[in-house]
Amino acid sequence: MSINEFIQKLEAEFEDMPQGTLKAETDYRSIKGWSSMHALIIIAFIDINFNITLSGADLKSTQTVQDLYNLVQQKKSA
Amino acid sequence: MDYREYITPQMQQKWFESVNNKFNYYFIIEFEGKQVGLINAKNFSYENGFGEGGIFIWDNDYINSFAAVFSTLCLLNFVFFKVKLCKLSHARILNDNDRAIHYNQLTGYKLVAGQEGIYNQLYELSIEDYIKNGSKLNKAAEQLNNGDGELICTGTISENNLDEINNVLKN
Repeated sequence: MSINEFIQKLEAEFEDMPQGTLKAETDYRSIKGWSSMHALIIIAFIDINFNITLSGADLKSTQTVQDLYNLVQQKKSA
Repeated sequence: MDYREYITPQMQQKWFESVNNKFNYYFIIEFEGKQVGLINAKNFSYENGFGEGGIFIWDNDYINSFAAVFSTLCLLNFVFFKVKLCKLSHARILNDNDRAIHYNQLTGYKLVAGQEGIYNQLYELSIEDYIKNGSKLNKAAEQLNNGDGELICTGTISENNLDEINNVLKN
């Protein structure tokens, strides 16, 4: 999955998020109304799409959407 | 939270007496061994389910932790699946509280028709929408906690509980 596909699918997980809101360099915690519910959705999204279980610490180690994508790629190839 | 004025001890006592019954439930949120907040399901009726759910994390260190989302899932799993009390839950959210609106929408809450122009808006969550939105959230929560997804309920049987809740506590 390319970074662009990753972004499109992630945006679709968040209710009412307009397409194009997220960019690779977006600090995902800065999205409007960010809460722990969003964090859990990201973990679920990565589990469903990549069969990868992220821990809370994994998530804490990332800041941008690109970081998340890189983490998934890294765990896939491990 | 709609009411933000100062209250007297007498007003607090009066409020407590109004909710200290089988139709209102308030739970302390304990997370990582610390009491960090409160979650409630109030104004229950068999016809309309829970009239209003709410959550308050008072410990600033835990506002962006998983304490809120885990306790929300616990409460919804409790009312919908454990006690099987109802098929509807409601929440009132101020229309300028983007964070709370998003939080509840991601769980599956939808704005009730006719509430668009109102400041303190009523949202509704059906059991079907919770299953649709909550399944993946519960699975992710289960993985994060290395748990088996079982909701363990303990408490004291009381005449201030609904019979359905006392039955769960007996088992």
